[in-house]
Amino acid sequence: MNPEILFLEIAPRLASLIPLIMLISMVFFMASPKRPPEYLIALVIKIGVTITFILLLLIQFNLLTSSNIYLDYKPYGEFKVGHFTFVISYFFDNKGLFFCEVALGLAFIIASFVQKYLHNESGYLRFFSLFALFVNGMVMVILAGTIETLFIGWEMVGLSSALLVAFFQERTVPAKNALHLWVVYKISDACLFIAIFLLHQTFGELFFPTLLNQSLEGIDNYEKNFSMYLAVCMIIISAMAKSALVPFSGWLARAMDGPTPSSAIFYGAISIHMGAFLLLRFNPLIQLFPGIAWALVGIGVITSILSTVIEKTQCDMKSILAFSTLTQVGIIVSEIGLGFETLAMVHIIGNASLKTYQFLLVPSSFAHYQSTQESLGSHSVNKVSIQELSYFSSPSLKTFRLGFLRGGLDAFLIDWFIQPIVSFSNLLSRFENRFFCLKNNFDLTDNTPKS
Amino acid sequence: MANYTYLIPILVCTIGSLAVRGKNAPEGRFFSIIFSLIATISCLLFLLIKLSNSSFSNGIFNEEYLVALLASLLCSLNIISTPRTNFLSNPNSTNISLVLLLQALGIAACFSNDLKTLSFLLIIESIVFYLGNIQPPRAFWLIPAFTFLTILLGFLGLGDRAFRLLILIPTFCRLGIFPFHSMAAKIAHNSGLSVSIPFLLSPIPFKLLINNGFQSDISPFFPEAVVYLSLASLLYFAFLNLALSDARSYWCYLVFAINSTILLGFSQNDELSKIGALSFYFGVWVSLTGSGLVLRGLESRYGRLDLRQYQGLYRSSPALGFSFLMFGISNTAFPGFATFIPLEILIDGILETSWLQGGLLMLSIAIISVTSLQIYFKLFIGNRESSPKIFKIKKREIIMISILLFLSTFGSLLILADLTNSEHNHSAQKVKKPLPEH
Repeated sequence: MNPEILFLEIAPRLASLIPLIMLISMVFFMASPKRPPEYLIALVIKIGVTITFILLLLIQFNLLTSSNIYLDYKPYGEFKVGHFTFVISYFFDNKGLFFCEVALGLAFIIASFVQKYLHNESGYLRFFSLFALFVNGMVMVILAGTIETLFIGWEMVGLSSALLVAFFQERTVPAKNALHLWVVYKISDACLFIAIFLLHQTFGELFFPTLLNQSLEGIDNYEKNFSMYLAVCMIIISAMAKSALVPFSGWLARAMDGPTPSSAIFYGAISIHMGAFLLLRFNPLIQLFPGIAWALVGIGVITSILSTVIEKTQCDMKSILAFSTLTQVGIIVSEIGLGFETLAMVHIIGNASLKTYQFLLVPSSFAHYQSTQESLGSHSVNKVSIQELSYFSSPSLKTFRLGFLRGGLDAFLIDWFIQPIVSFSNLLSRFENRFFCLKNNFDLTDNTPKS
Repeated sequence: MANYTYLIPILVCTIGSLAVRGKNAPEGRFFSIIFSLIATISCLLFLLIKLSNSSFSNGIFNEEYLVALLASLLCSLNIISTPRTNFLSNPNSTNISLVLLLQALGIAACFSNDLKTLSFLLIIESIVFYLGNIQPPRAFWLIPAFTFLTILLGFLGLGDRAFRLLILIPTFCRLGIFPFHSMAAKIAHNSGLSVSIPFLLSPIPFKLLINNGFQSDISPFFPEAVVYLSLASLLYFAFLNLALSDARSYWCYLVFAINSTILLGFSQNDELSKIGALSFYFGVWVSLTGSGLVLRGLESRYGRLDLRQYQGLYRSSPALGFSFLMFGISNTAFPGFATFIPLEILIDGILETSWLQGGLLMLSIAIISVTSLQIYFKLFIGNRESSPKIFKIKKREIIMISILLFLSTFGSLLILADLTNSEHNHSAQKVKKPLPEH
């Protein structure tokens, strides 16, 4: 067999399998009665990430040197029941490959950092297991060749993100914040699922590869209808929830309770950009509806302005960095709405790399500050701080309040979404106690009001 | 002769149940494990013999020996992993004989497709409860009495339609469909989890549901009424789960919510939802058993678990925490588990029929998903004072968890293979519905 054809058969298979093998090995480590040594855990992850990275590089090199513009790979064949079709497929094109390579590069840096940062920490293995789940989900989202594959990756990223926020298990506040994050992610998942259903109904199963090819010819054959419109809206809401765009920005500060490396990879580098990447993938469809595209620009601008204001009022480094990332994500979303796809892609990669670096500096920020001062021999950093303080001095205490309360978005989500559900649940619990469980020796439910 | 081979595992369990009754705990444990395992192994052997002669031509869900093997295996794992500290909440082996009887009835149900036979099994199962130390609620006798009356009327010429309608009432009571859930909930609270797991996840009511058909020949409004009842039940339990203060209640109401989901699928008029519900049932049967058994392991160590405060159990029981999380996300159809694609099919089928129903189903599943993580956090996160003992996971628990995790992940391959190849596929292809109008 021709070596090139052989390579094109083996490389995509391995690139899709290795993250999965990495995840399965972590599950085995978790299940084994004896804890494996730390170096072995980190080694498995680093080798897995490196091999996947190299394979993707080789595939991209092949694409650049050959006449192919993409490579489609279905690892498990097609699953069909009636008119329900489920296909797991990977789509290797230059855009996806480039982003995935950068993401894997950042993942490798984070893994190397964590090896020392969490040394002797009781949750070392747990961190790497969730990290493997995240890498698996990330590869699936970025290289998804069908919407179902994207959805699976989307859910994996969400779960790993929520569990990493609650990483420090002796504290209860991170768990509450992780639950808050999980609620938002579930909204995102539900919207994406509805979008998948609508797109399947409207376009059939051939839709996503056509979209990935950036070929609008396939889409133009269909008349714009309400289902399409609704599907695009659902995709945008899903992306908004995942990328913490307005009005879902409230969870971002809560997500900073996790360890710094997880904040770096999730809220500095990859996860927060996932929404923008989803919009980028669906942009040909979004551009069919100019009204929605302009709304996207508006959402991006509002998010940028609001997160800039919020950033100025935060009192911890990680939150400042997170909202600074969000400012950039808002601009990226605006760029996507305006149709500047390449610019948005470059912006995502640049921002993700810079923010990873900045996040990883946070634990040693005081040492870094001192060394900067010593090398400069002056107090230049303080001058910047004074300038920033003067920003809020006279004109707008209201702006300060807005930023300090994070735009009231967190309170909005709690008051309008979470609290009504909790109140209704408490009402049902009282009803259940009153009418169905009278003779139990203990109270089934908690009737105390929840905050 | 070969047609009666299915009686062997049933007889083994029944004899085992009689043999262990009245014995002390160590003896009862030993003999119950032996009898239960013999029944499971015999199911496996008969399945292999059948496989050597033919293949799964009708799909795995119609393969009695395979389903019986699963039912028997789940009961065996329950018995094997029973904690020694407090053997089925009982100093002697009265309740373990009950579990063996439930195993026998479960296997018997897998081999029956006749509504009347299944109804008889339902009566026997309910009567059996009075033999143990369970103290079922007073109204519990209504289930066997009503079922018996229905069968009697059936023999007296009640008619098939009316019989199918009436038999749904005890079935709903057993499945815990709102507002018939009170008795099942009370049994789950009064008995140990070792008994409530095979009781609440018994295949008898599900077989009754599958064979009922929910045809509109009873009344044109009948399937629709069942759909709305199951939706109301699903929403009720999904929301209720958010406010529960006891871990066992959570598991019990989770089972009811899942049962309502399955009922919703079965009562739909389209084939796709029914296929989804059936395959979802098989996936979730394993994962619900898993989460119930893990919860039992935790209860045997720490007593009844209060959800009003964070328990912080992860430090002392990390393996149980990990498995609780795994089974929890499997219950809510996380990708990679056997429940994922079946639930996708189910939601897809229901969304095609009605936007409202599909939307409410998705809302409920999302809430259940949030609850599963909430309960995990409540149980395993927090700063608990260091325990005098180290509650390490036992070997028998490792075996149980490994088998169940294997089934709930790799079982998906079997389900997928069946869904793709079976006759369901062809029948589903015939029913293709247009998009609902907006």
